Amino acid sequence: MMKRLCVWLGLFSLIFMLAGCGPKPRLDAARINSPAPDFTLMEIQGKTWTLAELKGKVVFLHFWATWCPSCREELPAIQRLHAALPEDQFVILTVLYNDDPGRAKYMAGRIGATFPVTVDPDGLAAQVYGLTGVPETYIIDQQGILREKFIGALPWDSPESRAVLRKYLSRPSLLE
Amino acid sequence: METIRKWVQVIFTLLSNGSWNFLVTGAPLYQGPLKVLCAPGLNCYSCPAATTSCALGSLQQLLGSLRFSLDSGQYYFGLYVVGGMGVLGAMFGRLICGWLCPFGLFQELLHKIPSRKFGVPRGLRYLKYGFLAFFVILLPLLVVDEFGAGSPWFCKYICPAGTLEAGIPLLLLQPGLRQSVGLLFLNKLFIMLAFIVWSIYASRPFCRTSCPLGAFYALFKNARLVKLRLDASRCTNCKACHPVCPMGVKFNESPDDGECITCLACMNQACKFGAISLEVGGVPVGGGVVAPAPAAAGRE
Repeated sequence: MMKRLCVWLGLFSLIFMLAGCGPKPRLDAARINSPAPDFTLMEIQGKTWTLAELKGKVVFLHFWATWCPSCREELPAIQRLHAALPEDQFVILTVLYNDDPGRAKYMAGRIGATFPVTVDPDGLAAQVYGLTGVPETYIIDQQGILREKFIGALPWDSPESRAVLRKYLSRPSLLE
Repeated sequence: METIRKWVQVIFTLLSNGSWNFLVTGAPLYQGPLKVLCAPGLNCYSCPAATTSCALGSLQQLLGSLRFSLDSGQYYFGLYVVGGMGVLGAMFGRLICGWLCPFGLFQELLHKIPSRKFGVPRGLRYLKYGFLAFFVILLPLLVVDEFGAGSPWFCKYICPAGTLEAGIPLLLLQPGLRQSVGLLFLNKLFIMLAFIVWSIYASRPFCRTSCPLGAFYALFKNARLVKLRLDASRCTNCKACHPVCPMGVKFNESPDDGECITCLACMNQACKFGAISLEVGGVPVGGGVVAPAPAAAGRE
């Protein structure tokens, strides 16, 4: 009886030990309908993007990776969305996650992408936005409030997706 | 020995899935330094608790990105994945299935549910080599998208371990994911449920018919370092080893069978003549002695 108890105690101790080894939770993680956390992203070409500089514009923050099949499927639709909207109102920032910028640059080049491909130094943006995986997309309105979080790939040029984005544009007719 | 094996299986399942703080914090998948390692058994990378990667998933990613790597000039060939799987296979072969695989343990536990038990038709064992050849190697390598990159076909369309360990838990933990549930997920859910039900009635049906990782390790059946050996001079062909084998191996007829997971059931629970022994690198390390009476054997 005592022997069995010791074995179970040992097992539970192992579980508790392993549970304590994971990443610490972020108390300041982004929440829907709350101010979006600021970020600093580095474009592959060298330009730096911060959320603070994008006030007054809708920001489409998209995390992706070249090794992720659904991210690759989504990429052309994001480019079409980018081509359809003026940059003074709607900014698309794609953020590379656990990937090589050279591969991303090549992939973006294959579809003639004109949206910025950025890297997230030390993964800080991924942490504060509570990224759960890729692809994942966040919509930040013109006041800097985080409005939407989409997990997984979406057909961004479909009528349904455009209807969601239209709500946040000052000139919704741009997405008619 | 069976009790020791069960504990090894439990401990390896916990080690492969040791990041449990998602229950408290809702933190995303563990992405720490251990994730560069591949679990020896079948264990999904995307399980919220997974501490390691899946060897099979990594192999598909590697093959799927091969053409893209060559085209883009970013050369990543994943030597570690292929090398690691090869080393494990050459050392242990399918012993990994019997001792270290979480999905193998899951099927064994399901099989303990009282019910009428059935065998698995022997011809179905070859199916897993087809899954390895087509869904893990050829389709990821040859069917590529506009970027020249392939998909992990087995993970995407078949793997019941992925549905069990990642698909369902992630849908429960992240309501936002539910919008993406479609036919693909329902198909995988059906496959998983089919194997769960099948596991109750037959022993390890996924390992025996469909696991490409088992098929890969089985390729080392003649060359592996740790294996069971049959002493033909002691074997009486009594066939006592047939009913105890969870993989349907007839050990006295085919001691180098690719299905043998070295669970040692035949050596410890069946053979009364010491005809089966365990050897490492050709050196006997256990067995080969007359088995105790069944009543005593049950108290190991």
